[in-house]
Amino acid sequence: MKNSKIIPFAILLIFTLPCFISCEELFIREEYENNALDVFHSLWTTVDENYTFFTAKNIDWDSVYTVSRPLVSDGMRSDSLFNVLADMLSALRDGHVNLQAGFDLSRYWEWYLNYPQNFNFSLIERNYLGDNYQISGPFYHRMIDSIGYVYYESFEDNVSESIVDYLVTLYSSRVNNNNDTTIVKGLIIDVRDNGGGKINNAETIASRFTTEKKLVQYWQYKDGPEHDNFTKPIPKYLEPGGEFQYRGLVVVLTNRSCYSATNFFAQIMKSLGNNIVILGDSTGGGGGLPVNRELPNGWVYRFSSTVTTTLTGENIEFGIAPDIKVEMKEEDLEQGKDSFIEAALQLIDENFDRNRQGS
Amino acid sequence: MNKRSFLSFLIFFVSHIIYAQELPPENTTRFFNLGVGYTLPKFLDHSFSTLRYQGHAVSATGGFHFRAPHRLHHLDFRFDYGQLSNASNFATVDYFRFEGNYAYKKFVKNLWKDRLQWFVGGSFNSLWTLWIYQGFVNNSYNNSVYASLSPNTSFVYHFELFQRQFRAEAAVFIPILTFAMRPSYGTTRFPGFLDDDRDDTLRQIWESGQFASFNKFFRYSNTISLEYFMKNANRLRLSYEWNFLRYQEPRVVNAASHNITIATMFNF
Repeated sequence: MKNSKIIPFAILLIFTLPCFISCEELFIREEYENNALDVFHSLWTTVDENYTFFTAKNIDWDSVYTVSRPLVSDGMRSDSLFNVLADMLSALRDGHVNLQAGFDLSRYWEWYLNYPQNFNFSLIERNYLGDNYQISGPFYHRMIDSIGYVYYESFEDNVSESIVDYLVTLYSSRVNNNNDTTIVKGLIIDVRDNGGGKINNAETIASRFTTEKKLVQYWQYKDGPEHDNFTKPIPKYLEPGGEFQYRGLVVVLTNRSCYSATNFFAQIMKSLGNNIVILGDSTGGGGGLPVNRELPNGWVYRFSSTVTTTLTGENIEFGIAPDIKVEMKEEDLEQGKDSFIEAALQLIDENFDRNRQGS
Repeated sequence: MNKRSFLSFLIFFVSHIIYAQELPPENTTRFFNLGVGYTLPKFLDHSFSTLRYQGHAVSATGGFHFRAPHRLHHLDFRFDYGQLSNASNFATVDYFRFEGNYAYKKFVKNLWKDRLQWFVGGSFNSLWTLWIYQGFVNNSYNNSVYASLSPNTSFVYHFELFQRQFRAEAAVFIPILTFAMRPSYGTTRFPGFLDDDRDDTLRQIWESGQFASFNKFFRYSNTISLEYFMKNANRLRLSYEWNFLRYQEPRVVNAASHNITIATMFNF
């Protein structure tokens, strides 16, 4: 056959063959099948290559595989497979690790279940907030004995710049229009039982408590599949936000149910300086940014993907210790008092008196 | 569009090209193109999921074509938006894709008893994809940018059919050198942009990508088009493009799309 006849056929072949055979199907093929063994291997491998706290928590993930793998067989029931995978993930001891199937959600909640609750919102609502409190966006707040009290239930609830500006202005000492002076001795920010949410909400609030850009923490990301493959620590700064930054004494109330973004908030506030006191119990932790992945059978799971450390190198995954440790006292509860709020009120009062005597 | 439809279209297209009456090459022309189309995208990104996503997208195209008897300048843009899902849990991914290509090709020779004009040249190809996993938190945004230099070739055939003039072109490019930017290993951020406090954009972009060739990056783009000459010197252009991409950093991502576009080419 002459070249002149071969060429058009070759051209046709080159340009149209891909269309006919849809050859991308050969390449865009899922690595795992939708069966129990592949689901198990997909989960174990992805966590192995991406989870960030194996070393910090001294977890032997290979031995977890050894224990869990024999429990999985193709054809096993979905709920049985779910239970095996959930047990496997519980070895990570991480509240940011969940497996979500349509019928269940695996979770690890021992970061607060093994500790006293130290919080009773009903008591606060009845005996401190009363009828005369404001609800500004996600914040419940009022003045208690010339001290601002703000309760924030969840960092999932978005915080606007204007609301935070309003709060820090409202609870600052000021000269009013009629030349009366409003004295505010300090501010209590109660984030107990706040299980977290969006970190940018934490940063928005914290930005009203510093007058200068400050280094507050370091982040590390995974940069390879080995358990110790991390980027170098990346500094995270907090810049002052809004037109006015609060300069009085701020007491942040925490308990073991403070997790994730609340943990970040407590750590950032603690790093800002002497005018901020963390009072109460240690936070529950949650120092890694959780990310989602999917299993071959469609189940979704999440795990921690970063490491956050304080300026002194402490991993905040294990919680933030308070500056002043307080436990809820039975006798306070019997009198309808919240020991945390009482301690905070007393601390701010004493600090105010001390400053007044000093000046 | 199913395979049978494709097959019918191609058989019709190819057979008529082969047996149509041949016309001489056209003179110098300039066109500004605008079009709309449909895309069937699919991808599997092992950095984000074990599941393959596939769906439907609408596309908008634009471009500028300058053609002389012995050279072609083609500048083309295409934007796709669609929603994709997987077969296992029907989670949704918002799919955005923007592609810009500039190709310069010179006439090489006539082929097939002088019926086909063969052009060869090079092209600069840029591609941005954004896949937003709706169900994910903290890692929903999956951004990729690819800038490539590619050899590029076209076969052009002018013919008359049913007393109408047509121009058919088949073009292909395969990048040989690509600067590719993908999210870093453990996050959705580009590697050079992990530090919020840096303000050195060009250097950060440089650090976010790497040069790759066939060892890590492979892309194949194949476009078949048919232009119908209207009486006012404008043209209608029907094109089909098949695009495949494979990149291995930080983990393997494979993506493909089939696109059909109808465009008006405004002569000026």
